[in-house]
Amino acid sequence: MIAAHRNTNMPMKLSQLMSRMDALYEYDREPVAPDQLKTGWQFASLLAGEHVAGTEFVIGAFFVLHGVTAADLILGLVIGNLLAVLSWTFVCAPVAVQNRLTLYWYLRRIAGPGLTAIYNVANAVLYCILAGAMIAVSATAIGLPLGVKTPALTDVYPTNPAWVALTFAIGAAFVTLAILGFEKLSNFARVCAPWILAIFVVGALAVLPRLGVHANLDNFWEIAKARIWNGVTSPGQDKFSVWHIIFFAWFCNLAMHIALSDMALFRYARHWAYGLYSAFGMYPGHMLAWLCSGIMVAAVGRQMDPGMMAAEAAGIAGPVAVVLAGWTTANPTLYRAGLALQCVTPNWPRWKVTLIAGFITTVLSCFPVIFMRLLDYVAIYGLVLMPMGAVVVAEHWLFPLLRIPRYRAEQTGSAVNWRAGVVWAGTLAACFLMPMHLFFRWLPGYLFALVLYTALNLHLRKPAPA
Amino acid sequence: MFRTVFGLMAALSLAACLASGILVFLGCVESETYRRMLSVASLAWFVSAAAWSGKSTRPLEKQGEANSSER
Repeated sequence: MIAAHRNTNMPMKLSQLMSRMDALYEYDREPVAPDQLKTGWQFASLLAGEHVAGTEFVIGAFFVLHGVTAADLILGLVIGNLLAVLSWTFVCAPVAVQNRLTLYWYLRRIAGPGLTAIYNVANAVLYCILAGAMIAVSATAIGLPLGVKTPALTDVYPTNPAWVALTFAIGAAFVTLAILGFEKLSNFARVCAPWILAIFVVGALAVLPRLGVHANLDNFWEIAKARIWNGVTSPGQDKFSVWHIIFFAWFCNLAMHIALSDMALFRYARHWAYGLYSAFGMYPGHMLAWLCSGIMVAAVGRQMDPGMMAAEAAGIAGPVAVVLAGWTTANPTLYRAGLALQCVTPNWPRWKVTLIAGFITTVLSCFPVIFMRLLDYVAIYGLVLMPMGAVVVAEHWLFPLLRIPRYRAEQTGSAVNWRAGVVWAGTLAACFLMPMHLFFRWLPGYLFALVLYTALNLHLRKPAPA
Repeated sequence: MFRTVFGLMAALSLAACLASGILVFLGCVESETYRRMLSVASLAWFVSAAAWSGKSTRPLEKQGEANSSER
């Protein structure tokens, strides 16, 4: 079990903050008991439902705009998603199954409660930006019948007051719903997932004849190469190769697998191999849905307007799917941002924290750059959290091999493991300076973090037994 | 009993959604008919799937969701 050592010299405010933070996560403080473990089927159904979100309408379409070729896309998605599944299976699930704790509690033992609080706030800010992108995506659908013009691909700031008013209205609606009842809404969100995936498939099928594909599919590959993923970049977009696709598909959920957020889920797994069930989420959600949204954007002349694209492909059901996909992503994201922020707000009720997180999110959603640069944001999101995943993996796997004592922060009662803090900041600085595309920086950054954290603790190594 | 009926209705509605796309791709129905079919099947899905979901409990999701991150 987890010993909650406290340094008696710790400043009162920090001590209070930690107490509040621990109280929030109290319900999952103990490791999962054997009788609470879940079946593979439960994992498969949950993961299949969770990977069809509003982002899928934008990501697949962006691959077309970034001039990826059809062969590169298929190969990249097969390999990249496989690497993501293997990351869940060999990195996240084994750690989760061995200690049966959430990342929060495990990180607390390793990094100390102070650094864990900072990690929580960073997570909350990243959640707010993600939810902001979802509000903007939904605004493209709701703005369609209202005649609100979707910002251009290269827009950074809001270009018209109608867009600002629309995003504020949608943001207010999403935040109100998130405050009123997360539980019931999240149940409804799960109902939406299979239907949203169906709309992706149906929408793509419906526009194929418009692109010139024959009913017997004999010319599908030729059309795919010439009219959908034809290797031509749209203005202002950089060219993507197979490597960009492999790395994007791999790091799209970096925060969940390599950065270990999904320990919360896999601590209920009977075996670490349950990580393989993530394939039920990756291949329908992050392969099929991305391919379908690529086909849909090609059919509307490569206009990055998810609402219009879906309406053209699926009629009224299309924009409804965009709004629901955006909302089902934004709703739990707002909830989690509120939960993460609640640890640093002085005894505020959940509704108040969600309201603040929602307001920040809504303001962010006005800025078109939030969703027009979504691929870069997804990369940054994973990159920011990745070093702490490396710290946990080093402490979990490498330290016992090297006879370095584990959980020093817990044992010494220190609030902040400064070595973990140095690794976090140092890795981000190193990634910032790396002379390569943003998509490729996380992997050398991860290895750098593993080596640096191990090196910083090497002097604590115990002598080998005689 | 009701749960089974709602589950079956939900599965059929989802199949109808997919069928509408296949039919328009094969050229068996016009675009307008396809859109109408899809709207009706979608409505049927939401009614039946919501009723089916309301009658089931999924403990794994409840326990995991508060700390699992967005995808």
